[in-house]
Amino acid sequence: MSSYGHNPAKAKATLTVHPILPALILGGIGAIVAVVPLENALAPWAVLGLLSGYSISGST
Amino acid sequence: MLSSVWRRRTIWFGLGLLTGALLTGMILGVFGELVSPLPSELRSRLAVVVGILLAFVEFIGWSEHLPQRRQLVQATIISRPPSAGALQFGFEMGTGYRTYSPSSSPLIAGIGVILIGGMVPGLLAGAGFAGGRTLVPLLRPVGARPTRWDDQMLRWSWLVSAICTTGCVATILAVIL
Repeated sequence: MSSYGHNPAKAKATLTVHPILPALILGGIGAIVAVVPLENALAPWAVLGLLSGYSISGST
Repeated sequence: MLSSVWRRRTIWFGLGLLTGALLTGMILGVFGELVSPLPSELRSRLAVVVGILLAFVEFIGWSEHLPQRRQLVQATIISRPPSAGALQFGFEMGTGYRTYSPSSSPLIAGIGVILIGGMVPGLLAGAGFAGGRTLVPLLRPVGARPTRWDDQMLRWSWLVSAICTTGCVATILAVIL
């Protein structure tokens, strides 16, 4: 704690999302799309795009 | 990895990504329309076989040897006005023309669009691709320790790619079945 009553460690503590989490969520959506028959046959294409886009997020 | 310059221009970067990815999706869709006279069953089987082969290449760690441009967006773009630079940066990255691809997933998606998709699926996949890439500046911590996030991404990129590639193959199967 600083002399101003401000804790720098706490101030810097922001909510972060681990890079694996979005992949798991998107992969889960992909699995649902693969298993559950959908009325809209176009939905899987958007999921396919999301997965392929996030898969190379580690590169520039 | 995205610099803080681009993170602050996420909207322009995302718009550029969307434009570039839609352009690529449209071009793939045109190729899809060109091969559409081929028997549907043949195209479907080919898409599954190629998808599984590309996933195998991914899992044995050879995906970096797959065809790709292997060229970064030029650093001179940074000197342009911030919004124009971010827009161009996103556009070039969105087209896939200037990027490194550590995963087979974009190829699986692209070949899927050509073989069993078409124009509308191509545009949808393009929009999704832009959304997936925009997740990085949205999720990467803004104020705190962005380098830690980068380190985590580098450390776990193999798993991220593996999950996404598995999902891509499953999605291709969902389209066919």
